[in-house]
Amino acid sequence: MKSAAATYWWLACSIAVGGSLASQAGINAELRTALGSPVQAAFISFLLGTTILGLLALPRGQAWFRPGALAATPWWAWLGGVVGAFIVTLAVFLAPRLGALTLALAIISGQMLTSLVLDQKGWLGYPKIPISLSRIAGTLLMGVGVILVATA
Amino acid sequence: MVTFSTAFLLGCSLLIGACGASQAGLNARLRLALHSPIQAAFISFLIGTLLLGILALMLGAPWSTRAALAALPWWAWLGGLLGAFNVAMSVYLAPRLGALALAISILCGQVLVSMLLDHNGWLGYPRIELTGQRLLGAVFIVAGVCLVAMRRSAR
Repeated sequence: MKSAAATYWWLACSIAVGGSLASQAGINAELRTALGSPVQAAFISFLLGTTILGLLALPRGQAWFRPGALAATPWWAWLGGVVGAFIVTLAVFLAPRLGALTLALAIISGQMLTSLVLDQKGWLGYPKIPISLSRIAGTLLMGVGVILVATA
Repeated sequence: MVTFSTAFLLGCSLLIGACGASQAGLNARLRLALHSPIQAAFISFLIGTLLLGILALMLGAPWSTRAALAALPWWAWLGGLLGAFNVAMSVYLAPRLGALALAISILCGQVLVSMLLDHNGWLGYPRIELTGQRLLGAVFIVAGVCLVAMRRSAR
Protein backbone atom coordinates (compact mmCIF):
# COMPACT_ATOMS: atom_id res chain seq x y z
CA MET A 1 0.00 0.00 0.00
CA LYS A 2 1.15 3.49 -0.83
CA SER A 3 0.60 5.82 2.11
CA ALA A 4 -0.88 9.25 1.40
CA ALA A 5 2.10 10.93 3.08
CA ALA A 6 4.54 9.14 0.76
CA THR A 7 2.53 10.17 -2.29
CA TYR A 8 2.56 13.83 -1.22
CA TRP A 9 6.30 13.62 -0.66
CA TRP A 10 6.81 12.15 -4.14
CA LEU A 11 4.60 14.82 -5.70
CA ALA A 12 6.66 17.49 -3.93
CA CYS A 13 9.85 15.91 -5.33
CA SER A 14 8.29 15.88 -8.79
CA ILE A 15 7.30 19.56 -8.54
CA ALA A 16 10.91 20.24 -7.48
CA VAL A 17 12.09 18.58 -10.71
CA GLY A 18 9.88 21.01 -12.66
CA GLY A 19 11.34 23.96 -10.74
CA SER A 20 14.81 22.60 -11.32
CA LEU A 21 14.18 22.38 -15.08
CA ALA A 22 13.10 26.04 -15.20
CA SER A 23 16.11 27.08 -13.10
CA GLN A 24 18.61 25.04 -15.11
CA ALA A 25 18.08 27.00 -18.34
CA GLY A 26 18.69 30.31 -16.55
CA ILE A 27 21.74 28.99 -14.70
CA ASN A 28 23.35 27.63 -17.87
CA ALA A 29 22.60 30.90 -19.67
CA GLU A 30 24.36 32.79 -16.86
CA LEU A 31 27.41 30.52 -17.24
CA ARG A 32 27.39 31.26 -20.96
CA THR A 33 27.88 35.01 -20.26
CA ALA A 34 31.46 34.22 -19.15
CA LEU A 35 32.17 31.88 -22.08
CA GLY A 36 32.67 32.14 -25.83
CA SER A 37 29.61 30.13 -26.98
CA PRO A 38 26.46 28.33 -25.77
CA VAL A 39 28.10 25.01 -26.75
CA GLN A 40 30.84 25.60 -24.16
CA ALA A 41 28.27 26.31 -21.43
CA ALA A 42 26.30 23.18 -22.38
CA PHE A 43 29.57 21.17 -22.34
CA ILE A 44 30.48 22.28 -18.80
CA SER A 45 26.93 21.60 -17.61
CA PHE A 46 26.95 18.10 -19.16
CA LEU A 47 30.43 17.35 -17.80
CA LEU A 48 29.23 18.00 -14.23
CA GLY A 49 26.03 16.01 -14.79
CA THR A 50 28.00 13.07 -16.25
CA THR A 51 30.42 13.11 -13.31
CA ILE A 52 27.57 13.03 -10.77
CA LEU A 53 25.72 10.24 -12.60
CA GLY A 54 28.98 8.31 -12.94
CA LEU A 55 29.57 8.60 -9.18
CA LEU A 56 26.05 7.27 -8.64
CA ALA A 57 26.30 4.42 -11.18
CA LEU A 58 29.89 3.18 -10.87
CA PRO A 59 30.47 2.42 -7.15
CA ARG A 60 27.53 -0.01 -7.07
CA GLY A 61 29.66 -2.48 -9.06
CA GLN A 62 26.54 -3.64 -10.87
CA ALA A 63 26.80 -5.43 -14.20
CA TRP A 64 26.10 -3.09 -17.15
CA PHE A 65 24.55 -4.78 -20.17
CA ARG A 66 22.11 -7.65 -19.96
CA PRO A 67 23.28 -10.73 -21.87
CA GLY A 68 22.47 -10.43 -25.59
CA ALA A 69 20.84 -7.02 -25.08
CA LEU A 70 23.57 -5.05 -26.83
CA ALA A 71 22.94 -6.70 -30.21
CA ALA A 72 19.16 -6.26 -29.83
CA THR A 73 19.39 -2.50 -29.11
CA PRO A 74 18.35 -0.37 -32.12
CA TRP A 75 20.90 2.25 -33.24
CA TRP A 76 18.63 5.17 -32.32
CA ALA A 77 18.53 4.15 -28.65
CA TRP A 78 22.08 5.59 -28.38
CA LEU A 79 21.08 9.05 -29.59
CA GLY A 80 19.36 10.24 -26.36
CA GLY A 81 22.51 12.08 -25.29
CA VAL A 82 22.87 13.72 -28.71
CA VAL A 83 19.31 15.01 -28.45
CA GLY A 84 19.96 16.10 -24.84
CA ALA A 85 23.05 18.07 -25.90
CA PHE A 86 21.01 19.83 -28.58
CA ILE A 87 18.25 20.68 -26.07
CA VAL A 88 20.59 22.18 -23.45
CA THR A 89 22.56 24.21 -26.03
CA LEU A 90 19.41 25.64 -27.61
CA ALA A 91 17.90 26.45 -24.18
CA VAL A 92 21.04 28.45 -23.27
CA PHE A 93 20.43 30.56 -26.38
CA LEU A 94 16.68 31.01 -25.74
CA ALA A 95 16.44 31.58 -21.95
CA PRO A 96 17.59 35.23 -21.84
CA ARG A 97 15.57 36.06 -24.98
CA LEU A 98 12.18 34.58 -24.01
CA GLY A 99 12.18 34.54 -20.20
CA ALA A 100 11.47 31.49 -18.05
CA LEU A 101 7.69 31.15 -18.42
CA THR A 102 7.42 31.62 -22.20
CA LEU A 103 10.33 29.21 -22.72
CA ALA A 104 8.86 26.59 -20.38
CA LEU A 105 5.37 26.78 -21.87
CA ALA A 106 6.56 26.65 -25.49
CA ILE A 107 8.74 23.62 -24.64
CA ILE A 108 5.77 21.93 -22.94
CA SER A 109 3.59 22.55 -26.02
CA GLY A 110 6.24 21.09 -28.32
CA GLN A 111 6.48 18.07 -26.03
CA MET A 112 2.73 17.52 -26.05
CA LEU A 113 2.44 17.92 -29.85
CA THR A 114 5.26 15.48 -30.48
CA SER A 115 3.94 13.09 -27.84
CA LEU A 116 0.58 13.02 -29.63
CA VAL A 117 2.29 11.92 -32.84
CA LEU A 118 4.63 9.44 -31.11
CA ASP A 119 1.66 7.88 -29.26
CA GLN A 120 -0.54 7.79 -32.36
CA LYS A 121 2.16 6.02 -34.39
CA GLY A 122 3.75 4.05 -31.55
CA TRP A 123 7.19 5.33 -32.63
CA LEU A 124 10.44 5.23 -30.59
CA GLY A 125 9.24 2.33 -28.46
CA TYR A 126 6.14 4.11 -27.08
CA PRO A 127 2.88 2.15 -26.71
CA LYS A 128 0.29 3.04 -29.39
CA ILE A 129 -2.41 5.44 -28.13
CA PRO A 130 -4.73 6.88 -30.81
CA ILE A 131 -5.48 10.63 -31.04
CA SER A 132 -8.87 11.47 -29.50
CA LEU A 133 -11.05 14.56 -29.58
CA SER A 134 -10.12 15.54 -26.01
CA ARG A 135 -6.42 15.19 -26.91
CA ILE A 136 -6.87 17.58 -29.86
CA ALA A 137 -8.92 20.01 -27.75
CA GLY A 138 -6.29 19.95 -25.02
CA THR A 139 -3.52 20.64 -27.54
CA LEU A 140 -5.45 23.61 -28.98
CA LEU A 141 -5.93 25.04 -25.45
CA MET A 142 -2.17 24.85 -24.93
CA GLY A 143 -1.54 26.68 -28.22
CA VAL A 144 -3.80 29.52 -27.08
CA GLY A 145 -2.02 29.57 -23.71
CA VAL A 146 1.43 29.90 -25.30
CA ILE A 147 0.28 32.81 -27.50
CA LEU A 148 -1.32 34.54 -24.48
CA VAL A 149 1.89 34.28 -22.47
CA ALA A 150 4.19 35.22 -25.36
CA THR A 151 2.20 38.37 -26.24
CA ALA A 152 1.57 39.54 -22.65
CA MET B 1 1.36 40.92 -31.83
CA VAL B 2 3.82 38.09 -32.17
CA THR B 3 6.81 39.55 -34.01
CA PHE B 4 8.84 37.48 -36.44
CA SER B 5 11.79 37.11 -34.08
CA THR B 6 9.51 36.01 -31.22
CA ALA B 7 7.83 33.52 -33.56
CA PHE B 8 11.27 32.16 -34.52
CA LEU B 9 12.32 31.84 -30.87
CA LEU B 10 9.02 30.14 -30.01
CA GLY B 11 9.57 27.73 -32.90
CA CYS B 12 12.99 26.85 -31.44
CA SER B 13 11.36 26.23 -28.03
CA LEU B 14 8.73 23.97 -29.60
CA LEU B 15 11.61 22.07 -31.21
CA ILE B 16 13.19 21.59 -27.76
CA GLY B 17 9.90 20.12 -26.56
CA ALA B 18 9.75 17.81 -29.57
CA CYS B 19 13.28 16.64 -28.78
CA GLY B 20 12.40 16.18 -25.10
CA ALA B 21 9.52 13.85 -25.91
CA SER B 22 11.73 11.84 -28.28
CA GLN B 23 14.66 11.76 -25.84
CA ALA B 24 12.57 10.13 -23.10
CA GLY B 25 11.68 7.34 -25.55
CA LEU B 26 15.31 6.89 -26.66
CA ASN B 27 16.68 6.73 -23.10
CA ALA B 28 13.90 4.36 -22.04
CA ARG B 29 14.84 2.02 -24.91
CA LEU B 30 18.53 2.15 -23.95
CA ARG B 31 17.56 1.39 -20.35
CA LEU B 32 16.05 -1.96 -21.50
CA ALA B 33 19.54 -3.19 -22.36
CA LEU B 34 20.99 -2.20 -18.96
CA HIS B 35 20.57 -3.19 -15.33
CA SER B 36 19.62 0.18 -13.85
CA PRO B 37 18.08 3.47 -15.06
CA ILE B 38 21.04 5.43 -13.63
CA GLN B 39 23.33 3.52 -16.02
CA ALA B 40 21.15 4.61 -18.96
CA ALA B 41 21.19 8.23 -17.74
CA PHE B 42 24.99 8.06 -17.35
CA ILE B 43 25.57 6.71 -20.88
CA SER B 44 23.18 9.30 -22.31
CA PHE B 45 25.00 12.15 -20.51
CA LEU B 46 28.42 10.75 -21.44
CA ILE B 47 27.58 10.71 -25.16
CA GLY B 48 26.15 14.24 -24.90
CA THR B 49 29.29 15.46 -23.11
CA LEU B 50 31.64 13.92 -25.70
CA LEU B 51 29.64 15.42 -28.55
CA LEU B 52 29.58 18.91 -26.96
CA GLY B 53 33.31 18.69 -26.17
CA ILE B 54 34.15 17.82 -29.78
CA LEU B 55 31.82 20.55 -31.07
CA ALA B 56 33.26 23.18 -28.72
CA LEU B 57 36.82 22.30 -29.78
CA MET B 58 35.90 22.33 -33.49
CA LEU B 59 34.17 25.71 -33.23
CA GLY B 60 37.35 27.00 -31.60
CA ALA B 61 35.80 30.01 -29.87
CA PRO B 62 37.96 31.40 -27.03
CA TRP B 63 36.79 29.92 -23.71
CA SER B 64 36.89 32.68 -21.14
CA THR B 65 38.86 35.41 -19.47
CA ARG B 66 39.87 35.52 -15.82
CA ALA B 67 37.78 38.68 -15.32
CA ALA B 68 34.65 37.10 -16.82
CA LEU B 69 35.05 34.00 -14.64
CA ALA B 70 35.56 36.11 -11.52
CA ALA B 71 32.35 38.01 -12.30
CA LEU B 72 30.29 34.79 -12.44
CA PRO B 73 28.06 34.00 -9.45
CA TRP B 74 28.83 30.63 -7.82
CA TRP B 75 25.48 29.13 -8.83
CA ALA B 76 26.23 29.56 -12.54
CA TRP B 77 28.30 26.33 -12.31
CA LEU B 78 25.52 24.18 -10.90
CA GLY B 79 23.37 23.64 -14.05
CA GLY B 80 24.77 20.13 -14.51
CA LEU B 81 23.91 19.29 -10.90
CA LEU B 82 20.27 20.11 -11.62
CA GLY B 83 20.45 18.14 -14.88
CA ALA B 84 21.60 15.03 -13.01
CA PHE B 85 19.00 15.66 -10.28
CA ASN B 86 16.21 15.87 -12.88
CA VAL B 87 17.17 12.61 -14.55
CA ALA B 88 17.87 10.63 -11.38
CA MET B 89 14.75 11.95 -9.64
CA SER B 90 12.48 11.23 -12.63
CA VAL B 91 13.83 7.69 -12.70
CA TYR B 92 13.10 7.31 -8.96
CA LEU B 93 9.62 8.83 -9.20
CA ALA B 94 8.31 7.30 -12.44
CA PRO B 95 7.35 3.89 -11.00
CA ARG B 96 6.00 5.48 -7.80
CA LEU B 97 3.80 8.21 -9.29
CA GLY B 98 3.15 6.84 -12.78
CA ALA B 99 4.00 8.70 -15.99
CA LEU B 100 0.91 10.88 -15.91
CA ALA B 101 1.11 12.25 -12.34
CA LEU B 102 4.86 12.67 -12.85
CA ALA B 103 4.47 14.69 -16.07
CA ILE B 104 1.72 16.93 -14.69
CA SER B 105 3.44 17.65 -11.37
CA ILE B 106 6.72 18.44 -13.18
CA LEU B 107 4.80 20.81 -15.42
CA CYS B 108 3.18 22.55 -12.44
CA GLY B 109 6.61 23.00 -10.86
CA GLN B 110 7.93 24.44 -14.14
CA VAL B 111 5.09 26.95 -14.45
CA LEU B 112 5.17 28.05 -10.78
CA VAL B 113 8.94 28.48 -10.59
CA SER B 114 9.10 30.15 -14.05
CA MET B 115 6.61 32.80 -12.92
CA LEU B 116 8.66 33.40 -9.80
CA LEU B 117 11.95 33.63 -11.75
CA ASP B 118 10.50 36.00 -14.39
CA HIS B 119 8.70 38.22 -11.89
CA ASN B 120 11.83 38.73 -9.79
CA GLY B 121 14.41 38.51 -12.57
CA TRP B 122 16.22 35.74 -10.67
CA LEU B 123 18.92 33.40 -12.06
CA GLY B 124 19.82 35.82 -14.85
CA TYR B 125 16.36 35.84 -16.45
CA PRO B 126 15.05 39.17 -17.75
CA ARG B 127 12.52 40.66 -15.32
CA ILE B 128 8.98 40.15 -16.67
CA GLU B 129 6.16 41.15 -14.36
CA LEU B 130 3.35 38.65 -13.73
CA THR B 131 0.23 40.04 -15.44
CA GLY B 132 -3.33 38.72 -15.62
CA GLN B 133 -2.80 37.68 -19.25
CA ARG B 134 0.33 35.66 -18.41
CA LEU B 135 -1.49 33.97 -15.55
CA LEU B 136 -4.44 33.18 -17.84
CA GLY B 137 -2.10 31.73 -20.49
CA ALA B 138 -0.48 29.46 -17.89
CA VAL B 139 -3.92 28.26 -16.74
CA PHE B 140 -4.81 27.44 -20.38
CA ILE B 141 -1.68 25.33 -20.73
CA VAL B 142 -2.24 23.38 -17.53
CA ALA B 143 -5.91 22.83 -18.47
CA GLY B 144 -4.84 21.66 -21.95
CA VAL B 145 -2.33 19.20 -20.52
CA CYS B 146 -4.97 17.80 -18.16
CA LEU B 147 -7.39 17.34 -21.10
CA VAL B 148 -4.77 15.46 -23.11
CA ALA B 149 -3.82 13.37 -20.09
CA MET B 150 -7.37 12.61 -18.92
CA ARG B 151 -8.14 10.46 -21.94
CA ARG B 152 -4.96 8.51 -21.35
CA SER B 153 -5.84 7.67 -17.74
CA ALA B 154 -9.43 6.80 -18.68
CA ARG B 155 -8.22 4.04 -21.01
